[in-house]
Amino acid sequence: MKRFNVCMSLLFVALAIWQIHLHIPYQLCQLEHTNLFVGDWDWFVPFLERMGGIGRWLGTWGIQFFNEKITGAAAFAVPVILLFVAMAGLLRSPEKDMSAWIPWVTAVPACQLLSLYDHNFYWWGALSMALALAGLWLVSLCRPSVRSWLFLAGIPVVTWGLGAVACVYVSAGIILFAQKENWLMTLAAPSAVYLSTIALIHFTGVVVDLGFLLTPACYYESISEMPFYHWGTWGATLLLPFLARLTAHVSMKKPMASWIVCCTGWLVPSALLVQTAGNFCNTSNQDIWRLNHHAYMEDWDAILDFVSDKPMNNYLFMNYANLALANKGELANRAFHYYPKGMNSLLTTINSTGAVRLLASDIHYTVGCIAEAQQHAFEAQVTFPQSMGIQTMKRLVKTNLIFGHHAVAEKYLSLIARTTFHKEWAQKYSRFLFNDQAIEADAELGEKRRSLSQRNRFAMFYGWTPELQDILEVNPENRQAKEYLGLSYLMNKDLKGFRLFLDKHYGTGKDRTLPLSFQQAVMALDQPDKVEEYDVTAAVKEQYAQFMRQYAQNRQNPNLKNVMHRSFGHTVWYYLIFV
Amino acid sequence: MKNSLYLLFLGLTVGLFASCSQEVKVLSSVDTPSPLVEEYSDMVVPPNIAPLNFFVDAEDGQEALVLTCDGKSISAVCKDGAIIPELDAWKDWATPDKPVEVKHCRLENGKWIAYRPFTFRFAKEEIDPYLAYRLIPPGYTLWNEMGIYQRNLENFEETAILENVQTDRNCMNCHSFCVQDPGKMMFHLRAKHAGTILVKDGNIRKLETRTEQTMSALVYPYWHPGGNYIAFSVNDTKQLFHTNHTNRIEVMDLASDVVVYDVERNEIIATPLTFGEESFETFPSFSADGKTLYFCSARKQALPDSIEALKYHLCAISFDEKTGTFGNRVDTLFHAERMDRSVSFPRVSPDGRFLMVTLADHATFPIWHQEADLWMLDMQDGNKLVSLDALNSTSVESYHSWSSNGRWIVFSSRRTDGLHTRPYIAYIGADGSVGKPFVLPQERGDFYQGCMNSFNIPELVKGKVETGSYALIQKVLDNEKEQVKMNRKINLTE
Repeated sequence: MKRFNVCMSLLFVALAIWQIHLHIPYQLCQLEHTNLFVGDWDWFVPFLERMGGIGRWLGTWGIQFFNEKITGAAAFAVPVILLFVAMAGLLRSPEKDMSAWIPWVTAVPACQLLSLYDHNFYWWGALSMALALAGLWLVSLCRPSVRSWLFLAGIPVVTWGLGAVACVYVSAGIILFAQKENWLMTLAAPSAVYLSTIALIHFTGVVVDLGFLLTPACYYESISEMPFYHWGTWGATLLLPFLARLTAHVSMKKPMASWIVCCTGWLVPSALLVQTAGNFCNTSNQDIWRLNHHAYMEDWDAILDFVSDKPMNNYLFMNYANLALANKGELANRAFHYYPKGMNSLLTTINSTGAVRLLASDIHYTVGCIAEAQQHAFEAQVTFPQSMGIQTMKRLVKTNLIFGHHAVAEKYLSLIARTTFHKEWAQKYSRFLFNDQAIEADAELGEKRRSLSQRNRFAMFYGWTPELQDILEVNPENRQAKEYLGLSYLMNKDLKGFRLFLDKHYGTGKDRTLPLSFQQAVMALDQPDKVEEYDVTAAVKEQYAQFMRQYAQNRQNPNLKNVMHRSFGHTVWYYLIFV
Repeated sequence: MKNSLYLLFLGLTVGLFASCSQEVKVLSSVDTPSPLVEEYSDMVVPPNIAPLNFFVDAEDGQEALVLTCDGKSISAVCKDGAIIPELDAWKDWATPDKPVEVKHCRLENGKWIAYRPFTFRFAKEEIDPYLAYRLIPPGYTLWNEMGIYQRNLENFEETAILENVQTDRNCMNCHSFCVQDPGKMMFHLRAKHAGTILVKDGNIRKLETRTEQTMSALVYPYWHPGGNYIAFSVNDTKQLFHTNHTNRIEVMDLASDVVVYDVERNEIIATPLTFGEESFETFPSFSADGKTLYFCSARKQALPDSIEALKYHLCAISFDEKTGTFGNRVDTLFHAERMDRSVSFPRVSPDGRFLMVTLADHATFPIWHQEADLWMLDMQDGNKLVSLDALNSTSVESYHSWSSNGRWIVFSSRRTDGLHTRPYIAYIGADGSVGKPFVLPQERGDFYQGCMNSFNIPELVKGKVETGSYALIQKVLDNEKEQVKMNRKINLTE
């Protein structure tokens, strides 16, 4: 049975890691991107000054390992695994044999994992729970005479260092260690110490919110209301030892019964975990984080592969698709492949969520609206748990270098240089500090600096079009800005504006090789001279002729839109008439 | 064996002690000015301030200072980019109203070589022992964690008056004290649990300051010295971003007025002279005797297009504390358009002699104006506004406040990197002479390099705010508020 339990434990661990990798791989990436860990003493000390600081610091440390696919999932699973081990250890008490309950311990990490699927539940909360119970397990291994004192001494340490999980630590400890003959030390004293600690923290104003002091809400994003199921881990953590202790004197005489109970214990929570996981993950968030991750890693093909399978009913998906196309230099060729719906397909309405601000920063950075890119990166960063994250920090380094704000860039770089996984990046960009020549020579930073508008205006006050026009005034070679500008006119169905845009940016003396959608738009201008002027290809002309023929043939068809969509849904002409 | 262990223990102890208190013995000197001269020589420093930070560009242990005052010397070696004397040594050694000789040394081949000495001095007058400020990232519209803190200026201790992690991450701002009295303070809350917290005589009140007659809740505060009134502005504020400008942001009021809140009656009083539609009034402050209300006023402009034409004058109107009434005339002390500058934050010294302002090129939120500087007028000397060149830098100098004895000011500056605001302290003599500013001292030399927050609204306070966090938080979280009324006797359409 023991060997069987060990094998099942390993299988459960593998299952947990697989589930994480399956359901929330990009949630892990998002956690890493919106986190920043600096491993020195000055960074650590402020954590000690707040309740739960040790857990929080360890959480921040652990998150930096989340970026890699499988190892990230394994790192994310650490508190779940540790919780499992600690619970199993607690039930293997030398005094009372509760090991029959060990298989059922899987219910606790299963509940914890379901909690962790909710991105509003902090990972360090799970870590704190695991550490608290691991501490309790270590205490349980000591001699009874020492155990009680260690348990008592641990209460204020766990409360201050790990937060509200101290409630579980104390309750579980009482359940496991309480003895009638020694009720003073095993029941009354821990309760008194714990309540005194809480009262001290509460009434001195250090932490006033009792929910934060005593419940899982301590580990939940405060702007959201915590769903009830997050109590599941706490409940399971206390119920199991209680039941185990209650039935410790009961032994199953029939081996078959033992095996049935054992197997059920392994299978039921695991099966529930697998079956219900989907209900606890927010799929749309996972998608957005995936897209953000690919954008951060500049893996534009991955974005396009992902969105190609998705119904394009989400402006954020459209924005990311267009961002990827722009960075691949194919925006104006393929923008209409993703069924855009208005200007918001290029740049969605900005709100106060970090995800949208990150996207807005990316888009503005791509076209060269550096002030806006900087603003949105800063605003996104403010929404992160620590008010700083590596993704936004890097963007802010770049924007400040482009603007020549070297002192600010140096400040950010000095922080990034103190991280474990990004210090090479900081070293690479440090060479640009106070070195305008190097910036201007750099392919990326130099291009963005050359796109800085000479004319100052209030960003986006008159809309995006004037911004893009200003950029092209100073840097007509900025292809992304040019294509976004042209598409802006088309998305707004402003053919007059588009014609003026064409004349200005593709007219006499300039490169007249038009991308596909611009060629299609030229056909829609219904100006034969423009068709000749801009060398519209024969293929486009033929396709337009087909479009017009089919349109004329089906004009009276109530299903005209669908009919046209089948063959021409990707074209500018379809968009101009039907969207 | 036992002897070896003893010797080892002794050696470690000596080594530890030696490393903690490295004595600097100057073996020779050069007749070259120290790089610190420009920033630190002739400084005037409060006798009760925590050890100053002398910032150097050197590796740890390579530079040091020997400070001699009134025959007593202390030394300190550089660490983390600054030379900071030990607190205990500094406390015992500093003598009020005495000069300090500074020998700045560098280590060469194991020997300390001193530059030509320079001096600064301790003033006779102490500075108020506490500084209150809000810590917040230099952001724009969104926020996460912030808090209002108080720092003991005599050591490095900083404690929270209130942190928003305890109040559902709402926004708290515009903390203000009545004549630096920690027992009389107020601050605003925005978003969740919105309202204004007013602490006076041990009572904590939560006010709802929005009224039908005012365009917003009450905004920029200034206490009347008597403690029974607080002047406020009401503002309709907008924030826009520059595409390519030395200033990142422009914050403008689309409309604003000045009112006075009667603390006892819980009502707002106003005059049409500070409540006009054709002008923007803001940043009120009272004179030291409370008989004059200063404020900034600008002619209404079409915004944002005419933002550069928006210049705020410095104005004054009399105020009668007994009757709660205003005078019938507004005097313009500084005509912005004539000087082509815009005034903000008029602050009168406690002795009533000096009035300090921030001047920027235009508009009303100078912290985002790199050209913003501090100016001062001597009201005994013809009211001429003079630039405080000793305090100003090429970056922004803005929000300033006086100490209770009128000899010290603290002001906000972004001179370190152009973005993060740091509090600077400077001496103002009785004759209006201005000492060199120094940054709020910290315990670590690299503190400001790693600090991602700005120090917002630095206010000197005569003592520690004793109002407990628990009581404050309970009041903040309380949804019941006292509704402020508008005084119906005032006809604002005159």
